[in-house]
Amino acid sequence: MNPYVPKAVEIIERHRETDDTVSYKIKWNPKHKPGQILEASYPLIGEAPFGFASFSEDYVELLIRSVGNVTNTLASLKKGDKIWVRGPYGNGFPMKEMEGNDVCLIAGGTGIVPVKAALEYIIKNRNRYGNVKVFFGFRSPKQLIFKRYFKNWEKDVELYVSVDRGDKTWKGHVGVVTTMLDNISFEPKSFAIICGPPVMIKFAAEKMLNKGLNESRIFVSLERLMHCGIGKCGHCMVRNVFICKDGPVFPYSIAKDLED
Amino acid sequence: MPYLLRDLKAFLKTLIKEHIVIAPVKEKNHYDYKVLESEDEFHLDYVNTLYPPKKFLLPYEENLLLFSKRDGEFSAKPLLNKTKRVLFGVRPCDVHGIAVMDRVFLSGNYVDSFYESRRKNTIIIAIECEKAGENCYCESFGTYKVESGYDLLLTPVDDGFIVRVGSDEGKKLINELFEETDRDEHKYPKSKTFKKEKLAKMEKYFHDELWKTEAEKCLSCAACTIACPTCTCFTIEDEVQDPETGYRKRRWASCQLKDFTEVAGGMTFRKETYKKLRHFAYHKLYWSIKQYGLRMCIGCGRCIDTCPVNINIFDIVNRLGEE
Ligand SMILES: Cc1cc2nc3c(=O)[nH]c(=O)nc-3n(C[C@H](O)[C@H](O)[C@H](O)COP(=O)(O)OP(=O)(O)OC[C@H]3O[C@@H](n4cnc5c(N)ncnc54)[C@H](O)[C@@H]3O)c2cc1C
Ligand code: SF4
Ligand code: SF4
Ligand code: FES
Repeated sequence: MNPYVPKAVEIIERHRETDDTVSYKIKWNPKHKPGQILEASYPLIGEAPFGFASFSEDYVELLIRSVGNVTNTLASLKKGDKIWVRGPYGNGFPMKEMEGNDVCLIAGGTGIVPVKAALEYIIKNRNRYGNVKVFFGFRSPKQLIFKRYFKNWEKDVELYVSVDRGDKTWKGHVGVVTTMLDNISFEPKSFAIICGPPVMIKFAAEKMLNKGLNESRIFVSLERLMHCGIGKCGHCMVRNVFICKDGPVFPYSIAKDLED
Repeated sequence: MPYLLRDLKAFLKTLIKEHIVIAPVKEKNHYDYKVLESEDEFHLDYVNTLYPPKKFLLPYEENLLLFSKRDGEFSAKPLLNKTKRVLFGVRPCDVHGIAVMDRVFLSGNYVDSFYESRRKNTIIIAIECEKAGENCYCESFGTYKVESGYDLLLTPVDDGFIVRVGSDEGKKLINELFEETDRDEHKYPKSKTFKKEKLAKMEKYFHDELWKTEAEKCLSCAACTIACPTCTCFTIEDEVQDPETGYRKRRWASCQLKDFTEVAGGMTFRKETYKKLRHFAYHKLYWSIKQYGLRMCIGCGRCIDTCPVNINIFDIVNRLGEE
């Protein structure tokens, strides 16, 4: 099996999420874990790494934010078009290890991608987990991603959503995502999953540490420029760690020392 | 049983007749690996080549997939290079360098099919060194000596070469020019050395000020990573031929260049020059042990030979931890 050869799969649903993001449901069902990654591409345009945004045996959801050449093209595909994929790669979240405990999921912006996959896994196996609190932060009410799922999730977990800047329509919390954690206490044995921009990860992790969580029970998903996804190209190396292969998920106890 | 080969030229001639033979050839001021047209182009007076043979296993630019459209649908065809080639005159340290490349590309959960195909079709004929170069540190790494990784290993002696066979492919090259011998000579020249014992303590020296002061003159030009036989990082990109065809290709990348880690919003990891230089040194000398169970650096000194401002990572290591 040549690991660089992608497979063309059909886009079965397309949703515009925000100004610069779209999501797809694609006809692909590789065995995978929440938190793992894939490479998606389009011929003659190029390839880029993405997270699995869903946990299902029937399809895969992708969220694509247009920031450049590859993502602009990938985001412009239509229902029925083909998208090229390879993977899954990386380790994923330790969903089994977290069983029997309370879980706190924290995501900022497109960091919602792997967190949504973990959340869907938890909801599928709801009785195996304790209290589950989910915190999502977005820049503004217009930036909410996967909003159409929120109502359903609320049936199974406590969902908290904030925006950095509100508007007339916004009735929820205003402030960066970590401010929602202020008045909430957590069972010290809880697990946490944190995904988002580097600064947000650091703030959220420190906050959870202060609330008594163990640094080896806080899991973060890291992003680096990636090309191969399989530990060969070197782009994602930090010290001796390949983010693509050894990660992208790390306990904070390790992530905090990954100094360049 | 080793063999004695008296007439190297005659052997090269038979090789060239049947194979593409790539060997060190004199350029203006240095040697470089080239395809030999004739056995007369090869002279045994080189210490080593300025650039390693890595480009024959991982070309500077390589087409990986051919995309083409038929009936409105693209298909992807992997392009595996299966050309049989002989790398001739490879120095023992570079045999170790190829072993490092093998570890990177052929070990782990994924085998790099493109590298594998070139590697499987490459015969390696190594020749031991009679003297070490100005910047060779093979003695510190033990890389002047090879026990595997070659198809044939030649040791220069007064009356020709002692030849050891390292593989079935190598065995097939033995012809009437070779006579059996029980001579067991080797050539292991003395090279420079450095304070290798410090490598075990590299973790402790990560924040040594020396990385900053040494990096002040570094130009982040990537000459070192281009010349390094075990620097194999690459970037994957698509290239359009026409609206219906194109290639997914890879090309060498360097951790010394800014675009190596640059992500959305112009954020660059390891932006500071000293962090990049330190990353190179640590990867070659220390982290690779954790990653692959071997040290990537083979002590060939090419990073020193090619550095325009004379940065020497062994000299830096020597001085780590000193006031
Ligand atoms: C583990 C991982 C998971 C990811 N998951 C998702 C996801 O689920 N959804 C999503 O929309 N995006 C995700 N990304 C980011 C996405 O891969 C990049 O946005 C994409 O590679 C940019 O490619 P481009 O060709 O469109 O941009 P380019 O034209 O190459 O560049 C445009 C800008 O994006 C930057 N960029 C390039 N690569 C990355 C990168 N890997 N991360 C961040 N910025 C980058 C460039 O430096 C430049 O500033 C993920 C990245 C990683 C490493
Ligand atoms: S160490 Fe020398 S060769 Fe390497 S990037 Fe710096 S200046 Fe260039
Ligand atoms: S780091 Fe320098 S001495 Fe070591 S293998 Fe690379 S080029 Fe040779
Ligand atoms: S993305 Fe290539 S090594 Fe990690």
